[in-house]
Amino acid sequence: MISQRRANLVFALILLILSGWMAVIAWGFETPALGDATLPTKFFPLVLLGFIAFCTVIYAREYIVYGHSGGDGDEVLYQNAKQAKTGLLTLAAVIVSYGLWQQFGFLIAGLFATPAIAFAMGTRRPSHYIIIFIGAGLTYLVFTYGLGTQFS
Amino acid sequence: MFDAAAFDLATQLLFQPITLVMLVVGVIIGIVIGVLPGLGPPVALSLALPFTFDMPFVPSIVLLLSIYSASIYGGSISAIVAKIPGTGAAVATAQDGNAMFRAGRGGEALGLSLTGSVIGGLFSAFVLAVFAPLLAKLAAQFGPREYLAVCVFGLAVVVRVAGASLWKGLAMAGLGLWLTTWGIDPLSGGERYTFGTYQFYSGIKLIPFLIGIFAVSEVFIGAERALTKIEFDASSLKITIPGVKRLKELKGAIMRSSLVGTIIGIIPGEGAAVAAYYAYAEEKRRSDTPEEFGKGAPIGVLAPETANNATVGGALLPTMTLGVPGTPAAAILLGAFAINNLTPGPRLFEERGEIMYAIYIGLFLINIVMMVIGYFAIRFAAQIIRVPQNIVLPLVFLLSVAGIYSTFSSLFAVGIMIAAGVFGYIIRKLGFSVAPLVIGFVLGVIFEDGFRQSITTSQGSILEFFNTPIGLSIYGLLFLTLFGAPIWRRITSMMRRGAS
Repeated sequence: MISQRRANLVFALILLILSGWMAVIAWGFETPALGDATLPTKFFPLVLLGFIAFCTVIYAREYIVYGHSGGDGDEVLYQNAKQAKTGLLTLAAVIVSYGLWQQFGFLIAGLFATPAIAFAMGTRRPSHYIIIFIGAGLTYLVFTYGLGTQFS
Repeated sequence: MFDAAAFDLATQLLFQPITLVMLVVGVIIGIVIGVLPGLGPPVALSLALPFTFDMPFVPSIVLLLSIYSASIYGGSISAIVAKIPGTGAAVATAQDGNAMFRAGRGGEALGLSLTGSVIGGLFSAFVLAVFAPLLAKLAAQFGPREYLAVCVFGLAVVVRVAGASLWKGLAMAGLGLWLTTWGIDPLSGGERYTFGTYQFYSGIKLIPFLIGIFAVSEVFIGAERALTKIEFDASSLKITIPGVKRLKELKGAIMRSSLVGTIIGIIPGEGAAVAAYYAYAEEKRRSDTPEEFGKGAPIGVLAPETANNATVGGALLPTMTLGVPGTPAAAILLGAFAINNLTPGPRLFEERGEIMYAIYIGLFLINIVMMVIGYFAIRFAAQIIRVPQNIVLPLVFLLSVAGIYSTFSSLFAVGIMIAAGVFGYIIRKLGFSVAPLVIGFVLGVIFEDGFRQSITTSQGSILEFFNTPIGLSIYGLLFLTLFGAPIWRRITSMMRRGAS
């Protein structure tokens, strides 16, 4: 499985690229005339992005030179393929359900999301799905009729 | 100082049937959510927040405070019974608590945990009632430099204790601060990271971000261990409350842990987990038999449980007086104030004294009710641990999205929550601590405003930042917090060497 070292180095690279990209965007921020008395609008984002990039370089260097940052050199991202599959499938179920909500509304998204997450977790017992459906229905009823939420 | 009319009004509001019902319901919900592994006080509060919209303020804050207190206590039940800490705050309890449970002393462990939690909660409520009005008076003199000092203090301390890697913690704190720069710049009116959509004009909203980081990321993390079966011996589920004699024997540990928890709760950014660890380590250090810790030492249960519940009152102190939350859970409580158009701070103490009294008295009542419910409901509460995670987690996700939509009437806010959840999952998998990210995000706006306004008033001189007695005291305290222990160790070792 992927080691923490490798995963953290990839993440550090992504953070550095994002910091650079966001800094370029921040460079274009304009301070309206009224705001001249204070520091420029772009000041804080740029300082913070520089700080993030600096810390990222240091911790990436720790992984490269020492093989760990904070003693996680022997650790892996996922213990086994099954764990990775479960985590990533759950992630996919959540993202798809958000897309469904945008297209078809809350009810469809909710009816998809809850069993889909349960399935991603490896649920096989029908009784669990029945409980989940009842829970999802109750949630909808409580929010719609109890709290007056008008779901889109 | 004491406002009899406000006190009288507060008691009237508190003893209304709706408030009392909310108190009992909150304690029950808090214990249930606390027992469920992974779902701590921030998740419990975020899920409950939408239900408080149509309520008057006092019942709603009592409900949230009940959930807050009881969910910290509830975490200890699963820690003791199944060695699975329901919350981060109960991690320190799991070793000794479960060792006692397996040795047939589960009743004693559960009793110590409940009693410690209640005493810690009562102590911190007392400290809050005494010191909040005093701090509010002091806070009236706070300007940008003082607020900046408070933020620097909170950020520095949380980075120091969060996670094993200092640089990863710092990077996350910076990221949390940076995310608050999105939206319209409140000082100049300039646009920052709005990406052409008006939805970002007000920046990334706090509540969806927090629920995403805590609740949604927990759904992903929890999914990976969802089908693990939890077994324990249900026959030994009884509770033995320690008697007066036993409490007298333990009074030193109780007092120290209460104090540690309250103080750590006050420090912005710290939380119940840090307090529990600190109290545990302190009692182990003081013990004549430190080797018994981890193998079933009663103080190993009492100390962390007293300290973690003592953070509640402590965390409310900066939240109510400065509007600076002591813990992530307290940050969500700020949401309840905002919903009712209330701004925590010195003015609230002057204008709405009854609210402050209701919170003080409410905290006392909550702890007393928690003692009663905790005593009678222990058998039922422990059984909740057996509810499969693959049923709980999908419903937590659904409640989170429904709650956020109900709060903001915006699918965009739901998207922010999911994005925060995915990001929280990624960084947790990569071994980052979420605490610096969250505290950076919570303190970010106050930090930037404080810094920029200080720069403006000091005409660009950084040295002027320290030219304030209150600010300087806070920086001095920060120096002592960060370097006091190493300096003290060096002094004592030099003295020992000199003597020998």
